[in-house]
Amino acid sequence: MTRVGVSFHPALAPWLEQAPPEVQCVEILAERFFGDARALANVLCARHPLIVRTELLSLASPAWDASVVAPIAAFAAETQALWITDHLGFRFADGLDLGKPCPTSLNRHTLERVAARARDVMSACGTRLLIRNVASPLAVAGGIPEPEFLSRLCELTGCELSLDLCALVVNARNHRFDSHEWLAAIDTRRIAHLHVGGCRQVDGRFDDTHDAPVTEDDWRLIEGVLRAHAPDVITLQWEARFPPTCVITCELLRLKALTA
Amino acid sequence: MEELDRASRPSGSSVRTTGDGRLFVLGQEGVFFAPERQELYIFNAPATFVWCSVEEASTDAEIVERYAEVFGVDRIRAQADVARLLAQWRGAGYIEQPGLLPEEPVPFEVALTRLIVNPRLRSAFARDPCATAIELNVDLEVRGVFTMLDPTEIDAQANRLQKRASRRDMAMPLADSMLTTAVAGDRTALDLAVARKLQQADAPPIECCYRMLATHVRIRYASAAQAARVHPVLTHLRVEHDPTETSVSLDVVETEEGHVILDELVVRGYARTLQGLAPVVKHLIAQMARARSTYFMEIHAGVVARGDKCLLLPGPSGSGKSTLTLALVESGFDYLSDEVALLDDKTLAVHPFPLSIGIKPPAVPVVERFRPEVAALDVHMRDDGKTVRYVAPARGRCAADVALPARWLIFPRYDPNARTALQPMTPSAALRRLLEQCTSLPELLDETRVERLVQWMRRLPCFDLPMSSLKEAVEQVQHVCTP
Repeated sequence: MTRVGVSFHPALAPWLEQAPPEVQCVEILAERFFGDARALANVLCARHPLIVRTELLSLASPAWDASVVAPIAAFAAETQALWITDHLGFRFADGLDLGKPCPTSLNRHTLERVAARARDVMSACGTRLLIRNVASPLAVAGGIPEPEFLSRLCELTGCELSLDLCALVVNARNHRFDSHEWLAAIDTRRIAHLHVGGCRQVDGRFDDTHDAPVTEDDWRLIEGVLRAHAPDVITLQWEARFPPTCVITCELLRLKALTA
Repeated sequence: MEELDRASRPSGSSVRTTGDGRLFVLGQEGVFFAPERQELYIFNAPATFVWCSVEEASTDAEIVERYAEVFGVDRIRAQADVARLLAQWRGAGYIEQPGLLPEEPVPFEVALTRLIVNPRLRSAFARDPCATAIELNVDLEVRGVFTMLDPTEIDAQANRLQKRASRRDMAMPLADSMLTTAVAGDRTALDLAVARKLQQADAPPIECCYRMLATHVRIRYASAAQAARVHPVLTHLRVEHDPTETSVSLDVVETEEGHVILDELVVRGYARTLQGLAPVVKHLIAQMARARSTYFMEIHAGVVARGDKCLLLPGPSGSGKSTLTLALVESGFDYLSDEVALLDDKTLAVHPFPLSIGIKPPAVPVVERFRPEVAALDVHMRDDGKTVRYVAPARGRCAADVALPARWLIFPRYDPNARTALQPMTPSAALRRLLEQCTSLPELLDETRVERLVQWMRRLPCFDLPMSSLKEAVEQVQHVCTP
C-alpha cells in the first residue's frame, strides 16, 4: 500500500497536530531538527511514520567527510525513519559549503565514488538510503545520462530512488529535455518514494519553489509514474504561499486516489 | 622524482591579495572578513601565517621557506600546505596571483565551487572558459565538461544558492507558530479569531502591560484562565499602562481551535491549548522587543552580572545554561537574561533581557535544592513538544536597566562524567563557540564591526566549563568573576 504524506513545514504544524487522516507519512529535513528541535521530531514521529531527508551527505564531493553520517544515523534511529534520503550531487567542496546540493558531472568515476559512499552510509545507518534527483538551473554534461546513472547506482549498491517530480519538471523545462523520455529511461522498480510539489518561474527560469499547486501537466506525469510502479510513499511539499489546508488535503486525496 | 625536483626549486613569484578581504589577528589565529560577500572565517595558525606573509608581499618561495621554519615541517610538506591554501584563496577570489607553486589537478566539483563562489572568476570564465580551466588547473579528464558549462546557468546557480542561503533560518522558528492559513476546514485562523473577537467586543478583557527593553506591550486576555496561565511568567516585567508609551496591543482570543494572538487583525501567534499559551506570548514579547531595538548581535546565552560587569554564558539547549544562570543569581549575581544576549551595536555591552528562566524537567530536582517552589510551578508546553517551568526572577535581582560591559565569557557544558573545572580557552576557539550560538545579526557586517568584535574578544578571559556538579560550577565561577 502506498502511503501519502507531506513534507514538514512549521506553518503546517498546527494542522499536523490534528493528525489529519489524509497524512499517512511526514518527510522532515534532519538538520532542521538537530539540537533544540529534536523534541519536535520525536512528537512528529509519535504521530506519523517519518522519512528523514538530509542535504549533508554531499555524496559526490571529491573529498568526503564521513563524520556527517553518525548524527544522521542517530537521528534516523531515534525517529524510526523509514529511510534516509539525500541528493545526487555535492554540497561541500574546497572547504566551502554551498548551502544546497549542486549537480555534478555524471561519469564512471562519479558513479564509483557515489556508490562507495552510499554503501558506507547504508552500512553505518543500517537503514534504506534513497537518492534524489536534484533541481538546478545548471546543466552539467557527463558520460552517463542521469536516469541511467541513478539506475546503475541502485543496481550497484542496493539503494533506491526518491524521484523528485518537481525537480524533473523544472530541469526539463529549463534545459529543454522531455521528462517523459527521462522517466522511460529510468528503472521505475527502484522508485521507493515519489516527491511532488508546485513550481513557478523566477527571473525567467523555472524553480522548484513548492509554493504553487501541482499543475495538470504534472498530474499527468505523476499518473504515468504510478501506472508503471507503485512507490512506498508519495509526499507533497509546500514551502511558502500556503493555501488553506483544504487545498493541500485535496491534493493528497487526489494522490491517494491515483494509487488505488 | 619530477615532483621532488619541482619542490626543491620553488619559483619566486609574488602573490597579491585582491583587497576583497581583511585579516584581524586574534592570538595565534585570525579572523578573516570579506565585506562584499559577508563572509567571515576563523583562520588557524598556519593559514594566518600564510595570509600575513601574502600581505607582506612575500614571494611564494619565501612563504614556503618561512612556513617550514616556523611550523617545523620539511619543504615538501610546507610547499603542499602553502599551495593548497593559495589555491583555495585564489579560487575564492581573495588572492590575485596564485604563484607558481604546483597544485594537484583540481576535481570538477572544486572548480565548479570556485566559479559559484567567486564572481570575478565567473566573469573570466564567461570571457574564456578554456583559459579559466587552465588557470584553475582543472583535471584533464573533466576539463572538457567544465569548459562546456553555460556561464549564464552558473550565474543562475550562484544566485539561487545565495537566495536560499539568505532565506535559510538560523534556527527553527519553533516557538513562533506561523499560523496564517493552515487550519482545519476551510476557515483560516484569522476568520475564526476575528469572529470571536467581534463576539467578545463587549466583554471587558483582563488587561496587563509589560515592558521589555523600550517596548511596551499591552496584552488583553479574553479570560481569567488565560491571564492566570501567562501573567505569572511575565509578572516581573509588568508596568502601569501608559497610552503614550505603548508600542503594541495584543488580544489573546479564545476560539474553538485554540488561543489566537491578534495584533489588530494580524495573527501574531497561536497556541492550541492553554498549556501552550505562555511560551507563545513570551516569545512574541521577546520578538517585538528585539525588533524595536538596535543591536549588533544576538547570542543564545545566559547573562548575569557582578557589580557593573557581566558574565556571558553562551550554550546550546541542554548545556545547563539556564540552571547555572539561576544558581548564580541565587548565589548573589544580578540577573540579565536566560537565553537572549543582545550586544550593543557600538560598545558590545550586553542589554538586560530578563525573561523568566525556563527550567526543563531534568533540571527540576537540581533547582529544587535552592528553589523548592519550582516543582509546584505551572508546567507549560512549548510547540517543540518540550515541557518547561518558568521561574520569574525577583525584581530586586534584576540588573539595572542599562547595558553592562561583558567582562567574562564562560561556555557551560553539562557532562555527567566530567570533572567540573574552568578551562581557559584561546580567543579564537572562544569566538568559534560564540558564533555557533549567534542567532541574529540584524545589520550587515562591516570592517568596523568585525574589528570591534575581535578587540572585544582579545580583552575577554574565556573559559570552557564542563560541569557535573552545579555547586562546584557556581563556586568556580564565583572565584573567577571577582569585580
